Amino acid sequence: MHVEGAAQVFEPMRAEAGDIALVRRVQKGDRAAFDALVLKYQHKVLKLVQRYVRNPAEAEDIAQEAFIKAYRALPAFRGDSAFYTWLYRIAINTAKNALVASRRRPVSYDLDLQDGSQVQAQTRLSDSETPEALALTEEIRRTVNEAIEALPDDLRLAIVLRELEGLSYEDIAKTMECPVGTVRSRIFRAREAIDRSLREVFDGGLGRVGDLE
Amino acid sequence: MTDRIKEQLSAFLDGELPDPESALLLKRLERDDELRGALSRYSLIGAVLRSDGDVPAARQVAARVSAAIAREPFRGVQAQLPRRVAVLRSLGGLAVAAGVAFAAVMLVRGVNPGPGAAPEVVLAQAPVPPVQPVADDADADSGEALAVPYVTPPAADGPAAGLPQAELANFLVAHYGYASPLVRRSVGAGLISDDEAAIEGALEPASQPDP
Amino acid sequence: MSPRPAIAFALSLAAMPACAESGQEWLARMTAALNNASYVGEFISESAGRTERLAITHRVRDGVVSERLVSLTGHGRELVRENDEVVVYLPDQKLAIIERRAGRSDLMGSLPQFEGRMASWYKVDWVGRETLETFGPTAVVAVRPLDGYRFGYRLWIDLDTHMPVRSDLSDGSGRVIERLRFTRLRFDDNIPDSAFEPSLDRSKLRWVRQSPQTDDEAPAWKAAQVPPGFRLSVSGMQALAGNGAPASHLVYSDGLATVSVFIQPPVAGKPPAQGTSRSGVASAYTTVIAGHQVTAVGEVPPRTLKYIASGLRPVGVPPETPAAAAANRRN
Repeated sequence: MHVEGAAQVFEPMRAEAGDIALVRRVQKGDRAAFDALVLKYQHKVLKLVQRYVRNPAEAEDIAQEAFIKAYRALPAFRGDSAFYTWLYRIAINTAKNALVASRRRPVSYDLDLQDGSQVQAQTRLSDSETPEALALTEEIRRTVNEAIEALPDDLRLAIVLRELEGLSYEDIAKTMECPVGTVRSRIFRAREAIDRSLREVFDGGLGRVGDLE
Repeated sequence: MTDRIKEQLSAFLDGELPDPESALLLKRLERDDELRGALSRYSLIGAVLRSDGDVPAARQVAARVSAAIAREPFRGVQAQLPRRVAVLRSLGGLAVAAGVAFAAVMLVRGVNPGPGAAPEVVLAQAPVPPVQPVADDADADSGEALAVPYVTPPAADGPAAGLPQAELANFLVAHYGYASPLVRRSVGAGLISDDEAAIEGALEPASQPDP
Repeated sequence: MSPRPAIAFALSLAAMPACAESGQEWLARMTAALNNASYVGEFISESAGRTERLAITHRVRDGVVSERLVSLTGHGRELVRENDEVVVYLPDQKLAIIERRAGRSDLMGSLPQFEGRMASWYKVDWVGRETLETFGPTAVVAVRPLDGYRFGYRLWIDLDTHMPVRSDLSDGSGRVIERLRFTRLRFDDNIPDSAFEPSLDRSKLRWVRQSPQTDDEAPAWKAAQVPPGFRLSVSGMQALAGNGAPASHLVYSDGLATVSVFIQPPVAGKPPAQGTSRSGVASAYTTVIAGHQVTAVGEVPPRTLKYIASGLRPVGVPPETPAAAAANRRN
């Protein structure tokens, strides 16, 4: 397959353009497209929210609220910028509002929000804030990193160029001097190999998290 | 779930799947939990790779959001009002000016005008071109998108007195840079605040003008 | 200028003897800190029924002041100032207002300052030291107006940084009308340019420019009466969004409080507004003089605005044809 020809056939879109296409679908009433956006960005949003709210259960609540707000606001989103930038803003505001609401006191505002101990003191302890949940996060990171290390060079390079460098398939094809179809396949195989290890984590020893979507 | 579908999913995540295939994949995604799980984990892998620290795995977010939006009525691409502003709108009295970009910023309460100078006879008037937007686009230009939902609660004694709040905002923007450093933050806070002001407006009946 | 003015400034402060416990001294230090320090912080602005949390980023580098103010409790509105340009972003209205004061760049250097002459209309008192939960010990200074034309202040000034970490603004009767408290404050001499990029999506905003007009003529209007201490510090022409007519813009200051006066020629079909309006600590009074709409805006009691605005008169123009003269100036 010739690279340029393949590019023309597939008219590959950048990730952002892909988001915009999904946004357009949502705006036409396609809820599944919004589902896809949530699946794609939920971890990022959750990580963002956890900068403000440490408790995992509360952070999930806030992430959920942020996505619902985004869904309601999406008809007004014009889509000529990155969807995630817009979502990021909503998530930050939702998290901050939640933080302010939880800390709002009748008399004094003389509180330093940077003081982590106070934030934690105010959040309810739920069963998700257990050593297991914290260990899971660590386990995920370790598993992903180990799986990446174990990949054959061509697969590792492909996914690194995609995920870390943010290159399009076409640019990766040029860098690796191979057809776009091969790039697509390599990135998939890299993900699938990492995912295999990841599924073991979710299904295995830390069985409590089998409900990961 | 075949590898072919999963490869499509992988390309879809990267925005590299052609549109018609994306449409089919979205349909499949709706009914295939396994595929949804794969999309979630694929994106988690990316997030972990790009992150310095740990990335929490979202567990219930997507399912709960999906359930929640299934109950939401579908809204078209019409611009919507944030909820609090919508509450305000229900109080009545829109500040709208056709063809003119309004910068309505804050709640402003009109109070009784003093016994100021009566309007004098207006003499020769030269038409003045409106301020031009420096970057424009057709959609935003339509009245819908710009409908300014701000409300001046009417004064107790009839029509709202003082400036329309949108104009006041414009004056304050022009004034801001000249305020002393100490006070400037207060002026700026007034300019960009909106949320709590909206609450204030809802709590304070319009029948209580400033003393 | 030193490449790190804020550091040099901090060193000079450290060398200052700590014995000067006079209100005036502390005001001078505070003013210096406000004008020279680069910092990142969050503060809460409280006034009757309204609580707003805001983030502020303030940088002074080579004499250029950059400032970004972000509402954390609302729709994410932002205000970004880069020296002589102010942009207010209103994402909820898909609107950005740019205000530029090109040709008046000297004005930023002539910001209101506490100085000796102010003693005639403000009484500055050293109150004492008070320890705030967030910031530790502060110097408390009261600035009381000696007449009813301005607001009073009570300032909690951080002993180390000399920043006002809390300030109460009070009206003539001593009632606090706004309380501003920092919850975070961090000094940073290396705030990157990116910190002044608005975090919202600019591409979907409609941009409106309020630009200055010709600036080389004497003000055609002046205030016949101003409260004691107020002086004309700036004048120029100013285009305003949402109102077709460019306005004459005059700025009067007593060193702490500032009043802007805008004079606009009549607009056909638009009835002139009259009366008082308010936004936070700022008020506006608008009236009609010689067929023009005269609007005074500032963080002073409404009576001050009314006093100044009612005294505005056209200068050097026969009183019977001010509108025609205004039209000529525009041409």
